[in-house]
Amino acid sequence: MISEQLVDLSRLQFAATAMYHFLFVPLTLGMVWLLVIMESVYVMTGNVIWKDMTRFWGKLFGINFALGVTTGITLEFQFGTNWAYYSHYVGDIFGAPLAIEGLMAFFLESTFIGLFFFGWDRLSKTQHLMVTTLMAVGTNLSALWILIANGWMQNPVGAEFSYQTMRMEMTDFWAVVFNPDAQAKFVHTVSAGYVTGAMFVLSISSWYLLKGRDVEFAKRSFRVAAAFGLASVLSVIVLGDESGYTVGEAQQTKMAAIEAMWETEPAPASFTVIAGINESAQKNDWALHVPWVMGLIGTRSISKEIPGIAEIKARNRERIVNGIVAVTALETLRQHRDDPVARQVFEAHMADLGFGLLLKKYVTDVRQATPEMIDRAMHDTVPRVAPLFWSFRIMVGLGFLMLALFTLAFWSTLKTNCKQRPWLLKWALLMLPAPWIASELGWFVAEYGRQPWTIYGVLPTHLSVSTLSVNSLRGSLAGFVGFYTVLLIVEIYLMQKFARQGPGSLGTGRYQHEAVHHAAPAHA
Amino acid sequence: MEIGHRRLVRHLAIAVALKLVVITALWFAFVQDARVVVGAEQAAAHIGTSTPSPSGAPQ
Repeated sequence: MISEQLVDLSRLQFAATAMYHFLFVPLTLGMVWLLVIMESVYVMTGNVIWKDMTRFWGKLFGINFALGVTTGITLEFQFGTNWAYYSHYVGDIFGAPLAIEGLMAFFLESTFIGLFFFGWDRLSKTQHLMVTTLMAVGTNLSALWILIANGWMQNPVGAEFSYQTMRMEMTDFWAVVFNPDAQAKFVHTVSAGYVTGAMFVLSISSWYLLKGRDVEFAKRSFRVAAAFGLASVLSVIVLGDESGYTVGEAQQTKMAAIEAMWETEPAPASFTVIAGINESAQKNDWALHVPWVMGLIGTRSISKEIPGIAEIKARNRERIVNGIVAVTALETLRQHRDDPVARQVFEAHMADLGFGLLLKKYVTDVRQATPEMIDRAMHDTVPRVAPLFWSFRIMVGLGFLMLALFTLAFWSTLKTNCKQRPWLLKWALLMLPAPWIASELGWFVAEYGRQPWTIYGVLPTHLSVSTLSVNSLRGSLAGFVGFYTVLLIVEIYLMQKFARQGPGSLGTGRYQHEAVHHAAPAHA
Repeated sequence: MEIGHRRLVRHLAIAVALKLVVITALWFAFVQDARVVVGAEQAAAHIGTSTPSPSGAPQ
């Protein structure tokens, strides 16, 4: 049987590298559209301050892109080392999306990023805007294919297990592409990236306004970020609701754990705002509820029940017992591939194969599983509730806090001079880390909430890992974390250095803090 | 291209080059020899289902 320590270290390594990687990604996803907006205004009005805005914020975008690019490659290393059995199991499904993502990233995104930075003097205004727009499209399409792969892990549609190849094989490519989970996840994730980009520009512009420097430049940047941020944060909330609905449909264990819903409530279920979670007693010691809300979010109806953890576990116990039959038939088929009875039995119970495999954590031969082992495997089917419950609430709380900030920021740019509201500017500055924290928590909820599976309901996590040595894993974990930490330090150093310099770093002579003063000042 | 921009491009080029060097070093140290090749038989053995012997008889 696989060592628990090996599984935990493999998970920790993947989580650490993925979370580091996702510090860079959302800023790239969001900033690129702000550049498109700023450059569009420049092309339409001819006002050079908008070109300066595109170039200055483009410079910070470039720093983030240069440091973020290839940070995802260590994840692919791990597929081949730590997660080799998982990779074999999903290879037929993941191959196409990951290959398309690579092509998008290298041939569309990277090519146009090069043209964006070095094409200012070589392309016409319209051609350059076209390049910026294609760079934005390429960046977002790269994300689409990764999220299609991840969406399939949450809801494995369009594929079937083959006992001959011992892997999932694709039966319907378009079902994989248009998987509702993948689509909801894509729009929710890229919108969260847009919020990150908007918050970044809003916060730094607020700092310039608080310092009273480069005011015309900062006011325009603040206005664009406030408007784009407001639209984006509204999208995140609406699309997050859609994402919640798809989770309710496809991953009931995750939904029940996020809501700390221990028992099935009569429809429509209430939403638990906060609760004192008692994991060992499988209940909430106290809770603050809002009637009906969860039922409406999770089922879009007032008559459909959302199953509680106790009901889900009881259902899963039956699936584990069925799964024992499926594993036994699979063993027979592996020995006698043309056995018609075994094939018939296997096909009848194939849907529960993954549940039978959960027992492999406790016993090598699942036919020897005791009722106690089956109970333990049943309890494993629901992830720990408290981390999910609180992570989700902090993420949602930050989302609404950002909604309030962007609403007030947008309102202030319409009604008054935002410079006259220093409290708003200070608040915007303090909120700079919020979208990153919310994004990381969102990923935690998505991935931790899927446990004990790597592919929901199909492949248990403990069977996905390779049998490497614990020392080798510790070494690579330290190497990867050290590498990412250095990158993050360099990113923060360069970002704060060029952000402090402000648009003066463009050397146009139109802004404060620069040595050259020969051009006309930029204004509307 | 202004001086500040050239300096940034140089900084970023060095950062990307160093990153590639470090990633390559990590690959040599932890990935090259640790890759696990998995086929149907290895997958079956890993999850504990029996694999057929060369003669076709159960193992």
